[in-house]
Amino acid sequence: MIKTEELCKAVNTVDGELHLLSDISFSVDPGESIAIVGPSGAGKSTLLGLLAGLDVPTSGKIYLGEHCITAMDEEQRAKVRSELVGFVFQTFQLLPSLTAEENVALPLELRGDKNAINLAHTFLERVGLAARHHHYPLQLSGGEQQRVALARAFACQPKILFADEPTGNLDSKTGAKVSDLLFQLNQEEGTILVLVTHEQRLADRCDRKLVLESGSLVSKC
Amino acid sequence: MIALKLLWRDWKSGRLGLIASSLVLAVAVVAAVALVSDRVQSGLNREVSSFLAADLRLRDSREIESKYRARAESDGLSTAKIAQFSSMVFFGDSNHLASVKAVEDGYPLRGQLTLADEAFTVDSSGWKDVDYGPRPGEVWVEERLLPMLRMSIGDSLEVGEKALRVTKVLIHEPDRGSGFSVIGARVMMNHQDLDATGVVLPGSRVRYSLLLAGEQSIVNEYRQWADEESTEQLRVQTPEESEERLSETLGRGQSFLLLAGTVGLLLAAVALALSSQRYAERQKDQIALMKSWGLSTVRVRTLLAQQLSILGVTSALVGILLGWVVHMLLMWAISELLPRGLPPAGTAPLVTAVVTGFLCLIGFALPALWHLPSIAPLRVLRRDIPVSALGIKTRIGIGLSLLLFILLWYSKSFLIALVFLFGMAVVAILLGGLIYGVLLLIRKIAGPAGSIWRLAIGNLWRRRWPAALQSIAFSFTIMLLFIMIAMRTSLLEDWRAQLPEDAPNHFLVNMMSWEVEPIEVMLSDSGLEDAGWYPMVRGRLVAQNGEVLTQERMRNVDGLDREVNFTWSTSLPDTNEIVAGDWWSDAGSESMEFSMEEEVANELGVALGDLFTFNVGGREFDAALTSLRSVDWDSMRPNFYIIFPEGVLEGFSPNWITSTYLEREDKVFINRLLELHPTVLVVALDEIINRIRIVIDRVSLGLELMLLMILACGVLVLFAAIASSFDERAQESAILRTLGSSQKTILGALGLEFLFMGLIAGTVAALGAQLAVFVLQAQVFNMELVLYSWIWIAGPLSGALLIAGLGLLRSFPLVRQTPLQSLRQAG
Repeated sequence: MIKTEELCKAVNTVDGELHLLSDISFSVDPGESIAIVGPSGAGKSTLLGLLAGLDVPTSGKIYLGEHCITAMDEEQRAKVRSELVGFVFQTFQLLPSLTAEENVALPLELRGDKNAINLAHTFLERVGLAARHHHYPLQLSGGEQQRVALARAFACQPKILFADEPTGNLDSKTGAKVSDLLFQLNQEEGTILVLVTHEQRLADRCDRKLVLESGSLVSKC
Repeated sequence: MIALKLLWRDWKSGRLGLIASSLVLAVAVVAAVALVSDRVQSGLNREVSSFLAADLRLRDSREIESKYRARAESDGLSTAKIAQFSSMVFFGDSNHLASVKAVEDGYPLRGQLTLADEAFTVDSSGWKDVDYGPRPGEVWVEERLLPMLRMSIGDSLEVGEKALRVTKVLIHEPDRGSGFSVIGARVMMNHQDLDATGVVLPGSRVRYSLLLAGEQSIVNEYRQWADEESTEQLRVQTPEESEERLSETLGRGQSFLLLAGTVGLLLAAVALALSSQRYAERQKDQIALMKSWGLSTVRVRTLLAQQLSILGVTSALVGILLGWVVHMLLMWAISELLPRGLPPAGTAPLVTAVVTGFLCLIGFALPALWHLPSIAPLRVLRRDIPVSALGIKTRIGIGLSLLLFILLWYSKSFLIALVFLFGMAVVAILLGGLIYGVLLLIRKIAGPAGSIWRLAIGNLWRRRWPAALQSIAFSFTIMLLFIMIAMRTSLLEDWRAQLPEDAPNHFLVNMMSWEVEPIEVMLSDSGLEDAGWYPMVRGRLVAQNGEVLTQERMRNVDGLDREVNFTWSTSLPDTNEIVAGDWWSDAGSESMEFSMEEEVANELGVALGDLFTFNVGGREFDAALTSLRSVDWDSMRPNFYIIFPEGVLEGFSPNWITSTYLEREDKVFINRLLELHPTVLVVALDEIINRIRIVIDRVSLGLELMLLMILACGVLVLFAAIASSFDERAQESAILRTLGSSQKTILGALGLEFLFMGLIAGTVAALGAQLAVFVLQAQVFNMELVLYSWIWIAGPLSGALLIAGLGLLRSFPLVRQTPLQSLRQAG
């Protein structure tokens, strides 16, 4: 379902070309969950951005489902993202001016889903926040905000969910609860989960780990 | 519709408040100005028309050709003929050389006549305004004629061979004119009686007029046609041309209204640009998120365009509604002063307002939002990804170009548009340089670490460029408000100075030398002040340095091209000033010299020392030009082009002239004067002066109300400028409070920072305002340059207080919430 071939990413700096990722090749099967781990600056988030079609590699190929997104322009990649991809971020990325319910409903509304609000309700219920649907992000705790973000991500029923340090901003207890929820929803929805994390415990819950060091894949266990 | 939903959510969150208010105010200001201007202007035009009793007047010394009337009638214009001439009128043994006016039915076509049943009544409640002239067989007379001829209402007055019954006293006629040409008392009769009087014979000196009135566009077309058809003798006049001073007043009023509207619009535009910038900042994350969900750039652009359109239409509607309400309030406030039944406003002002609103949206909001659709979706993972927004120079360029376009569109004057832009550019450059210099300076004298002073300076230095930009906005607002206040004060003072309350309103002329003393005593006994006594001798200029002044050469010398009144005086009249040469010092000097008014001197082309030949009563004599004078023609005192020292005109029997101020209740004095001195001519200008004053009052009251709207726009700019740095300040405040700074320290530092910005902005605003006012006074309003000391005190003071006050008011929420809340809010 996800496949990369000899993926490279380099940027130009004042000191010359800097290689962020070199020769990354792997694949992920449907329903599988993988963790991308490694020290800071190893290229984890860069890889996540490339896999999600948010950025383009210097060379190499990426396949999402049947789509080779590296051969596409931004507009085509956007279409693929809208069909296949969901996100969960470390900083939650909830819109402060919208209520929990509106935050969850927004991507559905943008797709033209007339049932957006009902679906938002359902998913907020599934993450245990049915009573908080009219609260604004600022009125919610960090854990609750991330649960809203999970509801938003899963409400769109993506085939692939990309999570960037989903518990990075939470204390360990709350983090554990959020990760339980993430894996539970992932299992229920049959989604591919690609998550970037520093946390060993979270990485251990995934089916596989990709270990990055200085932009290179050192392990695919 | 998702765009509407998003917009509504933005509105609920308060993000759109400033943008929408700016837009609403821009539309409202323009709508109110345009609506009031449109309606008052058409009302005033009608009022001005009453100065001619018509929309257009054709005047000739011969009977006006019938083709002019035929064409007017076929065009659907109303017409009325007038014949004016001087004729002796008789009552018993008494007679008077009256100024007779024969009017056709239909006169006056515009304005009204004011009539009374008795002369010199103090109580004006018995006066009646009518829009018709006397019926055949009747005559209406000016009140001074009754004591002069010792007659009463109901008596028969003989005009030539026809006896006409005096039925009313004529208090006011719209087209009397403010000039000095009408010296005989007015006698108004019906045109049908004219032939029967037998006074108009071939060769008689008669001024024939054809009055026309109707729809403005038809009148304009007719005027073009008449101008092409007319001969040299036929004069085609509009009300404005007939009353130049009043037109000038109205012109200034209009310029001011335009200025006020434009200032309001500029302020709203600045507020719009600042608030759009902040809105764009806050939209970045949302757009990036939407794009990460798969929304294409085109779709985002479409969504934003839809949102802007909805915002534009809604704001325009609300703005028009607000503008309409403000215009109604303005009209209500001045309703007592306005003519009844003003025409309703047309749609043109509303179209202007809506178009302006959308132009503002395009020129000031769109450039700030333009880059949003192209924000990279990767921003959801990496916030440090640069966003390629339109450069500040490009945005300023777009804004300025649009501003120039709007200014040109409104004012149709390239000069006014340029003066505005010049003023803005001066402030921007001055302030940018100045604030940077001041910051460099005070940075070196920062206090001990952790002090309020040091925090404030540090904040300012770190944000020096945004601070400079904000200061420019503050400065701009204060400057524009000062320009408004200064110009308003200046215009009102200028108007008041032109027509002081006690300006002489009656001229006494045709007095013999022996009458001067007894009349002087009569005046002082009645508690009346004279404005100086001047002997008058009629004569003309014949030659300059031996060269004969031909008619051709004198044609361009307005005032000296005919026989004029010369006078003599030992002292310089109060309202005159010597601009070249010297006034004769010896009382009773008999040297052959004279003084000339500077404008005619310029037209004639003279040099001090030139020897002129004069002809007075057939006798010629020479005198040297020794001084040039500026003359205040608006002083309503006797003024002269040429003044001699006492003694030069010895031997010519002079007539004397003086002027005085008479209240309505003192008018009975004229009665007594004329009984004792029947040959004295009294020219009453009080009605004309009153009418001019009423028009001026109307205009100025409207202008004061406009100023209130502009102030509202100014406050909006200040809020927008403060709001634009609010997020950053919130974050800093949260960090400082987390680190243990007290509320007092943070507020103190913020207060000082705003105070500094205000002081600098206010000082530069004062400088810019004074410069701009100079330019406006000199170039646009043709007024004397005035240095306003209050600007220099009010500038820094108001800048500091206003900005520190509003800044602190807006910053209180920053310290009221807990540091954790602030940190979370700051993201």
